[in-house]
Amino acid sequence: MMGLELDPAVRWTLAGIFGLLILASIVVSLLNRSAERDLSELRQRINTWWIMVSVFGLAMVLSRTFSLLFFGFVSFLAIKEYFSLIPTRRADRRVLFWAYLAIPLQYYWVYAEWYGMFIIFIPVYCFLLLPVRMLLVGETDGFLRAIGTLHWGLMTTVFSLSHAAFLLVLRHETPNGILAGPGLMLYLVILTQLNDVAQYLWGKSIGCDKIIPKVSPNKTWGGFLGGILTILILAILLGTILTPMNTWQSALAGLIISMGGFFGDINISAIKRDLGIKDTGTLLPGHGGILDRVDSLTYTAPLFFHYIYYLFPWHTFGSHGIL
Amino acid sequence: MHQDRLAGVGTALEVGNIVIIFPEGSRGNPEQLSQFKSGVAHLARRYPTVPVYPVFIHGLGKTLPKGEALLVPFFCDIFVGEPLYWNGDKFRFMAELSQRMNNLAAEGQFPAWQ
Repeated sequence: MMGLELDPAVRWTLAGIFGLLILASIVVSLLNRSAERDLSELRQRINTWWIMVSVFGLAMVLSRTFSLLFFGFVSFLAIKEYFSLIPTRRADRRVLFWAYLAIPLQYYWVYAEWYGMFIIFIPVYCFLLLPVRMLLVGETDGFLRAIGTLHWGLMTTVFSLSHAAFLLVLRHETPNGILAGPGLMLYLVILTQLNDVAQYLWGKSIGCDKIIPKVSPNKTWGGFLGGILTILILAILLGTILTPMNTWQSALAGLIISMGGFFGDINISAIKRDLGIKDTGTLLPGHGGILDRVDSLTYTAPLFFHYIYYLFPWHTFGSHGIL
Repeated sequence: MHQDRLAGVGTALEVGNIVIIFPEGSRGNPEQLSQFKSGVAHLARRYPTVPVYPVFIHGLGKTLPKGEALLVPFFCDIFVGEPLYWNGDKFRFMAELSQRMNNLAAEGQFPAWQ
């Protein structure tokens, strides 16, 4: 059954991403021949894109389970990076271990298509139980900071990101046929990542005033508005192919993803400022750390998920009842 | 006795192998450099042409401190410095090695961990 569960629209869109990457690689090598500027970071960035897109595409083509494992692994790397960046207490080693265990459980709820548990596991059960584990250690010095930063990390890197994975198990029957989750997930991920790229490119080319220079000196009104416009157009074009949304619904989805992505991005920027670091890591050459790459997704995934969840009566693959 | 212990290391160096030494001798308090043992200085004196690369590792103590059985994942950092050579005196060599190691540690920016 390799890859057979993906719609032709999803497969063509995946092929389209590779086309875009080939185009980017050609443009950069042409620029490299003519320009005197140093493009090594841009080249490195695109090379890393190749690897990320290949792994992501492969997971999608292999099966839904592989896609879920992919997102689970991204959550793991993100929270590991987060735990390595923030001040932690030696006494809390075992509490952090329990927090790591939340990852396989959270993605298991997705795999089992158990929406009720998926949506409360981290905000309710982890929120209540991790402090209990921490209390058993008995160290009250810095308790609030320790449990606060721990829960914030779980919400951002596991709960939020797992919404992108939950899209994969959604199914909706329209008069024209069945529309399934992989298209929704691809729609979210493509638009979120292209929003980053579009905001960066518009910011570099037209720029204008800085929006919040104290948090992120590279964010300009030109980049922000150019990004919104670009994503609005792409959201409408891809919305009819990959999702059951009409033009207006797609446009609003584009707006949600573009603005949500912006705030997700500067949210992580603020944390980097607070910790006095430039990048969250060195895992992705040219991009920084994994948190630098998924920062926007931590906002767009839950926002887009609840938007589309509200719009249509969804089923999962295993059950026929409405979620 | 001391000479014999280093004999195996000597043969390895003579055939051009890479030898890795943990000069702290053991895992001490996690994420705290302890006083280096001087075995590395004896080796450097015996093989003055062999480069000694200081390598500083951060994060392993958080991941698996001495006495703990449970591994908790953290990203670890490894800093590799410029090589140093035997400089004629054991104490001066050890002082230089410590200095280089402290310089490497200062390059990193590590969050508090207590």
